[in-house]
Amino acid sequence: MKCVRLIALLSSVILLCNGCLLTLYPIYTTDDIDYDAKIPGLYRSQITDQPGVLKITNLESASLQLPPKVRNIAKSGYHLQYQDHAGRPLADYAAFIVKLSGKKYIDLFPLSGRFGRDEFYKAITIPMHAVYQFESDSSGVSLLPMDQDFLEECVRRKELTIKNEASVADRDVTVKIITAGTKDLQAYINKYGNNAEAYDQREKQVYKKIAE
Amino acid sequence: MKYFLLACVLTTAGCINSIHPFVNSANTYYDQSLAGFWKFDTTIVYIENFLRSPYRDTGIMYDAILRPRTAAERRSAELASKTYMISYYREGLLYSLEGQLSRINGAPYMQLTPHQIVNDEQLTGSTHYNKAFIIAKLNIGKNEITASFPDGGKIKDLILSGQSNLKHEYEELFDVFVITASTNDLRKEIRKHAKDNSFFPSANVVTLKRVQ
Repeated sequence: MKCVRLIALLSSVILLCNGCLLTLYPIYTTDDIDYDAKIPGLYRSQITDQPGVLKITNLESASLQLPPKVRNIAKSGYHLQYQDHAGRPLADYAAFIVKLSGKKYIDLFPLSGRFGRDEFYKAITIPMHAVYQFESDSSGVSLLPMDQDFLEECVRRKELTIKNEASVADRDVTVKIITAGTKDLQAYINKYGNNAEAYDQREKQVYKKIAE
Repeated sequence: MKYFLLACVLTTAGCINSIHPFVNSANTYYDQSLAGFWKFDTTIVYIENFLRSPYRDTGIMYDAILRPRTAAERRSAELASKTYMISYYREGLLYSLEGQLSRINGAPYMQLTPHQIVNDEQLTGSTHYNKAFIIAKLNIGKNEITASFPDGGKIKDLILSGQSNLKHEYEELFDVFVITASTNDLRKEIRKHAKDNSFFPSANVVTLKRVQ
């Protein structure tokens, strides 16, 4: 069963990563983040029903309010901003890349939530890290989300033990909040990273570079 | 202005967000006198019973609430019958929270959790958030309710210094602190500090006045 998130389905705003793996902790440490100066740029979506444009800049150079510890490593991070076809910002993330088992993974942490200006409502929510496999070359980037349902199924079948809390999100629906630490998350990715079922292929994002 | 201050109090001093609820169907009660229109600063707040609200038709497994068949569904139905929907408008958006009343050491407390935002077609921002639960100590009068929110910063300091062993997670990089203690342990902790005014500082008090 797909996990229920704090979301509102809209017609005009594309929902990013409906069932993707969300974790309380990041998949990287400050010592193992990987930075590629060739990645920042402007990218256009190659898939219908995905945000039109992805703007990637260096996190330190973006004028953003970041927590002090993130500010310390910002030069090795990225600011990802999804935009619609008219260039209107849709969502902003602080992103860091880590290499695990020869593959790159990108961790997105939300910098803006779909709450409007109500800080009180936002204060009763918990921002989560989203985990994607990441590929990049001179022509573009792709982000393939890891699938939370797959992880939960592994837990249910007792193939995997990973720290989590079962929270009652909607009175009747229990959501598993993954509270495993970075080391255990990396172990999970190393173990299942080559398993295609560990990813949600339907939500793959493919962007072609259109400008530096 | 006061609304802005409330949001600041809850975000900077810190909501004490819990992944698990503070109440369950066995320890919650319903007070019809809370229903109606209230005013906080310039914001009108409408409080109604969940089962008499339009939100019941958007709830998941509504049929199970109306016609519970299992013990779990009966508990869920009982909780639903004692749930308040707390709605307010902010800049054209209708926000709703779920609230449940519970007595701890004889005093009424209200648990709050986000429900949904209506008319949010133009909202932007990430959906990578999970709901949390917060609690406020109430003083209920005929035409006035005061809600005192705990000092989240103080509670966080107590936990991190080891003076409280309340189960928690702390993602230090982005400064995300959540309580993961069980409902029982949460209630024990509140009982311990119920008479400590420093836990419910006057700066964290919100007053709602009934709209006549």
